[in-house]
Amino acid sequence: MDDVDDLFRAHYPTMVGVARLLVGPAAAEEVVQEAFVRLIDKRPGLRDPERAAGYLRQTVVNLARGRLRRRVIGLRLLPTQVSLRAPQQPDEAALHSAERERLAAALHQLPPRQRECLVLRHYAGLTEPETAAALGIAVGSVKSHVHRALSAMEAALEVTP
Amino acid sequence: MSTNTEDAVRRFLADEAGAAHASDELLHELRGRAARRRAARRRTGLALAAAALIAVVGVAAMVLAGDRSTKVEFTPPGPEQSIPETTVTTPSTTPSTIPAAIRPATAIAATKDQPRRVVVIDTASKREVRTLYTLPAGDGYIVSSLTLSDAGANVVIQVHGPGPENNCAPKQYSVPVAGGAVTERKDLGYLPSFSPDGSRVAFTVDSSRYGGPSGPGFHCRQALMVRDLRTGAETVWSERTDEEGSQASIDEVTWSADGTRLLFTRRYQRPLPDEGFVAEIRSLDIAKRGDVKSASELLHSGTGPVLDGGAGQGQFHPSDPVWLPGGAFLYMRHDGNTDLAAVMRRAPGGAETEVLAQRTVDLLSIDGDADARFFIAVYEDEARMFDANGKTERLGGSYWSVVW
Repeated sequence: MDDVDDLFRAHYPTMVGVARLLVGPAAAEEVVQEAFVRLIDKRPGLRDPERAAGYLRQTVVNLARGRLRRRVIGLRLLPTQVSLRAPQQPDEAALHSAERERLAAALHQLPPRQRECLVLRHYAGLTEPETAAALGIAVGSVKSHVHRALSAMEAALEVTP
Repeated sequence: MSTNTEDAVRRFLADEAGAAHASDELLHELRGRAARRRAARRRTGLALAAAALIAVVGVAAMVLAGDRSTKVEFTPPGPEQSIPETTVTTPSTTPSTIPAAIRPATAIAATKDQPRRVVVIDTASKREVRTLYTLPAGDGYIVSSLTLSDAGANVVIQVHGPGPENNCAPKQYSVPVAGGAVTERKDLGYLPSFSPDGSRVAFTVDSSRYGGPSGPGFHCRQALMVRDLRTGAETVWSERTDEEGSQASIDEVTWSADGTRLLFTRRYQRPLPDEGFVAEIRSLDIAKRGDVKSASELLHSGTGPVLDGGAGQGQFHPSDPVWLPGGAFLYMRHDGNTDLAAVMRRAPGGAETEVLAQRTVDLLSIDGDADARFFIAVYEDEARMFDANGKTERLGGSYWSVVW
């Protein structure tokens, strides 16, 4: 086992989750696998595990962003929103489906930067400086993007079904 | 912001993200892919060094022989090779290299960052001189396509709403390039492209529009249709031509200058799930097949010859053809191994192609001017204008698609 093994085991599942939230389930694993291929390719220059993890996060976000842009201009089939959740009990599904649909719609409508900040902070659990480094923006910008994104999500939660 | 909201959002995100497994087999496969990529680069590097040596020797021989009129041709890589990994960008601070007097005057671009604004750019001064159309912020709508109509007098703007339910239900608006009222057009299909004389428009549709098959896996870029704008007559020229489930789509349709042929990109899923999409450029001669009436006659047959790409072409993905006067056409080519994006030009009627520009930066779109003297390549980080000799200058940094 080497440090690539460690990075792969520690980060692959989370990065696939990040990619699913950014580009949808169809392209998520492809994006993250490509990021790992590039990481392995550059490994001699990325011996510091922290630096390697930062490179990995940046690459996943950049590849996801590129996917979305190409999709916008018609270079890929448009995405379908497929939920990956396990089937729920009927009562539970009835209770939560409307709220989930509103949250999914709100997440889908967020500007890309806000969505990236929200996913990295509140799904991947990155700190604000880590998020800023992954996105190449200032720490203060992370705060404001996350705040705006959460406000939009909160508004979606408060809507009366 | 309440803690309850943050908790609810965290739960929602974790639930939506699902689970993925980091298996030993997958890591082994990824290491193999990286090793193959390194080997390909080494081969390319050797080939490039040899080509450079040959070029230097050739130029020296020409200079010694006093032949200054002979042009050194750059031979593009073949379909099974990697394109040499080089960068040809010019720093944005360098002075203009294209004489202002011969530059095209205007271009129309949609801005990046949730593309919501369509602007007119003066290509001489490289300044935005007019905003033609702006979508309100925050409603999830985006400008997804631009095309010129009426000999360049108007631009047709395709707008998509949020959510998959709007995938095949774009709205289209026409705006005079000189500025003026925005009018909605309801007579067009998806991704319209107008013939040079303005009499016809090509677009893609779901085959249910003309009574063809429909259902899961069928979508709005499935068939190519041409509408005669004077009579309203519609002809289906190309349906999906492959087996069920490949999700083949037609994109980026462009007309020849004489209006007799169409070029388009066709994409389809390879048979194995992890092999991704294949892109190819196809040509369709609509002058010779003007009597086609039945869509079903064309099923599984009629998309014309493949001009570049397709299965067996390695990791190259040709797309976005732009037909030029005289029969040549530009197109984009992405190399999945090296991340190299190239603008290619294919000579009229022949197999020769040449690389006009290449960078290791994602290429979003290209378009040529009406006289085939210039083209604009829109990269992820900037838009650049090129002339036929490869001279280049930066047009701007915040666009995703430019037409002119």
